[in-house]
Amino acid sequence: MDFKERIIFISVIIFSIQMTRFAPLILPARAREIFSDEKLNERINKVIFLFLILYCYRDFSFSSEYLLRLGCGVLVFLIQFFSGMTLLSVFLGTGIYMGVRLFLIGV
Amino acid sequence: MGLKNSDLLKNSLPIAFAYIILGFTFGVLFRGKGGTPIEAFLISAFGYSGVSQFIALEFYQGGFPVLVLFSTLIVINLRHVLYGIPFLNLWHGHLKFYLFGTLTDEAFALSQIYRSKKPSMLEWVKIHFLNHSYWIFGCVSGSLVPASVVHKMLGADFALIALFIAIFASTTRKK
Repeated sequence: MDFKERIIFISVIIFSIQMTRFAPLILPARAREIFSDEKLNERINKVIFLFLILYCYRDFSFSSEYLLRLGCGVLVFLIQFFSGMTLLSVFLGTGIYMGVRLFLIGV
Repeated sequence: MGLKNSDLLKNSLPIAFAYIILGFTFGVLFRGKGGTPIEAFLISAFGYSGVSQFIALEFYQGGFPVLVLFSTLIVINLRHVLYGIPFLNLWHGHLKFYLFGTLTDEAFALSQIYRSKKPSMLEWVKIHFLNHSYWIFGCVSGSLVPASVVHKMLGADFALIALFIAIFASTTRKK
């Protein structure tokens, strides 16, 4: 890539990402009122996180890696649900996933 | 009410763990494609989006389709419009531009935790800046080291999935 192409490449990335992030700022006032509803926000948040989780598991298969990822995901959910400790659930889940993946599956 | 810097740092650790390793991976791959540390810095500092940056890697070659890259990134990042809406009435002043510009998936997740604690605008900036600096550090340092190093960190990206699940579990737990 020449210098000009590199500049264009970086600009396209920055512009496309930031355009979506600043979009809410130009929403009409009426739309802001609707979305300032706390309960609606809570529901939106839940849907977004559910969507993100599903997105992370979109490559459905019966491969050992996928099953391990699924199992560790369930483990994280259960630890978080019953203990409420985010650090514990995230680190334990990730540690088990990395360890099993590296030493048992080897992928 | 004031938030302690030590608490801000402690709560950002899961994101630091994921961001530094993921960013590092991006940096290594970017370097492998011919990118430079300066470019890695510009993309991570002003673009600052994990998924988008990894997808953009596929386009990093001479004669890349500009419009395809642009439209692909727009579609992938459409969720950011939803992320910003809950904060429209919360963030104000000129600092809000930094906060909206750095509202990633993980920053959004963390912001949900902090929201009930009603941080000041400066505290909000600290929260976002910590995540932002982890990402920049990861991306730039990754673009400075050999690709063989990244092989030893396989699977660390699960921390992001785990964080999403933990936040989702927390919202379910309240009910």
